[in-house]
Amino acid sequence: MASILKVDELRGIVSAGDITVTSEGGAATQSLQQGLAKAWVGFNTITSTSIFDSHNVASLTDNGTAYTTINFSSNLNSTGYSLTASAGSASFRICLDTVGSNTDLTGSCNTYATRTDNGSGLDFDKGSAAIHGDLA
Amino acid sequence: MPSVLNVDTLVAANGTDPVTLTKQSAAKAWANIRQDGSSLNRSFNCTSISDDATGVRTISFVNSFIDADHAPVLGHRPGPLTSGSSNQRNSHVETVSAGNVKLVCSYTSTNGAIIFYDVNHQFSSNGDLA
Repeated sequence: MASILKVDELRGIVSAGDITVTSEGGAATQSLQQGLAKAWVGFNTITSTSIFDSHNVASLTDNGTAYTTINFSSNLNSTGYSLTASAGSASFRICLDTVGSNTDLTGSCNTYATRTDNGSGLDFDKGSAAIHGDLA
Repeated sequence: MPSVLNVDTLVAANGTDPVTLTKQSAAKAWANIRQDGSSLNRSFNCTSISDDATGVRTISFVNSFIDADHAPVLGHRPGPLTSGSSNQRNSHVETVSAGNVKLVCSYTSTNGAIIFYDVNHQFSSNGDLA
């Protein structure tokens, strides 16, 4: 019978924010916290910028056609996080760049969508983004 | 009052297997790579990067995946906001193995040539570790 631990919060003893877990194959151990996505969002920008579902995302800012800012509820601890994103359109193939004044911030990040056939910006039906890194 | 468990390591009840909380669902590696491909700005479970050529770089993992069937995904920051035919960048994962991934960014020039292009790649991968 599987053992189940019922608890609301986990903390490390040596460091409250560092708990080690064993790999699936059993050959390695690594940090639990660092592998978790710190924010994610599914959204669209066609008629109005809106969120389908999200985690640690307070709001989106519509900066104009193609250009969206994702605002976090809890900030990352540096700008060196990993933002992976994609978008789809019923009409065009899209490349979703992760840009914005060429600098992401600890409290927000930016996406910019372009058509792959001519490089022009456009709004899209469904986009998604995930952020991995360390929270403040 | 919420219960708090203070613990440094979590393993399954048999003392070796991963707990259900983390199995499959947590990313096993991520990285933010300098635009010139020379180094990692920040990363998790990535030991090194090799700058193979303009727009082409290979990231090696500290702890390898169990096989090559993990799921790398990419984002990239190419530079200031621009548009036009020379900026139709395409980033993709060229090769995947248990121990590393090769990332590429290119665009098609107005005369149809494929031009490799350095970008600030941002990467993560989910799957099972060895």
